[in-house]
Amino acid sequence: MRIYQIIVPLLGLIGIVFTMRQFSKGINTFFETLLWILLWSFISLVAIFPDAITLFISETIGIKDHINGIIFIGLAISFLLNFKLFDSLKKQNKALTELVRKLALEKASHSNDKK
Amino acid sequence: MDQDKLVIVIPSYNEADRILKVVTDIQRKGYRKIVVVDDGSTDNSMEGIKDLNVIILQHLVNRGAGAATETGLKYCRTILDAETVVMIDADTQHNVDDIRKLVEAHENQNADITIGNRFLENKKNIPAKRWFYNQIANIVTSIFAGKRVYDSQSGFKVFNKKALQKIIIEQDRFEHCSEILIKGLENNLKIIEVPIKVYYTPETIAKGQHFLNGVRTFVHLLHSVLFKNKQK
Repeated sequence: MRIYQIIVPLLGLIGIVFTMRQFSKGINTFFETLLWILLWSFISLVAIFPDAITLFISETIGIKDHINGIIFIGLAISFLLNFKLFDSLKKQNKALTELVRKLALEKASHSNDKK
Repeated sequence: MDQDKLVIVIPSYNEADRILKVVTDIQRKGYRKIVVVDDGSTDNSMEGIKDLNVIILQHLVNRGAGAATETGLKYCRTILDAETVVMIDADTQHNVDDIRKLVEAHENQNADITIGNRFLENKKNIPAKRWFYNQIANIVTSIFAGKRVYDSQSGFKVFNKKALQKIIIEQDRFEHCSEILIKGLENNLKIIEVPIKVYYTPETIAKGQHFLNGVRTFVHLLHSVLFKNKQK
């Protein structure tokens, strides 16, 4: 056993606990929590059983070289996370727009009242 | 048409050189209710029109053409109780004479949404690049809408009360034009297209559709479809 096979699962465990705490506080949605748990579990499993997991992935998705399989999965996860980031950014933008709109409408009705 | 129930909405961003002309041209045609939405301009655009008889709604920061349009529509929906709303660009690319043409066609054909189509007439006025980007946007919008549309990105539109109530714009930037058509078709609203004149200047070309806007429109529309239930 190598040192990273202890450190990475430990980090994964901390990540999972942190994610679940965020969920219990209502900060993360169920979907986000599930996504992070799956991600941390996957990273931990790859660290504990590197050969078995990478071989399993490469055989399952039909990629001959198992390193390419990992790169492929990594890209897929990265794409998914980017999309989630886009989703979160969009929510922030929407909230900002709502705020700006509310202020504009309030200011307009306020100046109409004065007239 | 009862002029008091017709409202002209003009979203405007850094149009200091043009907004005065657009507003005065519209007023000369006898339209009384004009709502200008200043979308966080940094060029003191509103100085020139603040003494005219117009309602000015000011965004503190720039939020995009879609956000500004929705602010104007929300004002018409909640405060003015408008029957008909005409949306027109602030950059003088549209001919204000076409307002009457659009509203008449809108009423005569009992439409819910009337789009001013730039490509049915005067094609020579439209730069090739602009024409190309708009055609791409039309294809993307048609895919999402499930029906062929011919000028999905026109900023010159008329809504009746039903459209005003049914369509709440969620897309902040140029993709709102596609969103209006998609939501209109989803809500079984009657959409017609009427040819309009359009005049492009280097400034209007710089501000309008370009390739990245097209990509952004596609991504935002895809996102809306994927996360539709969550957004509602």
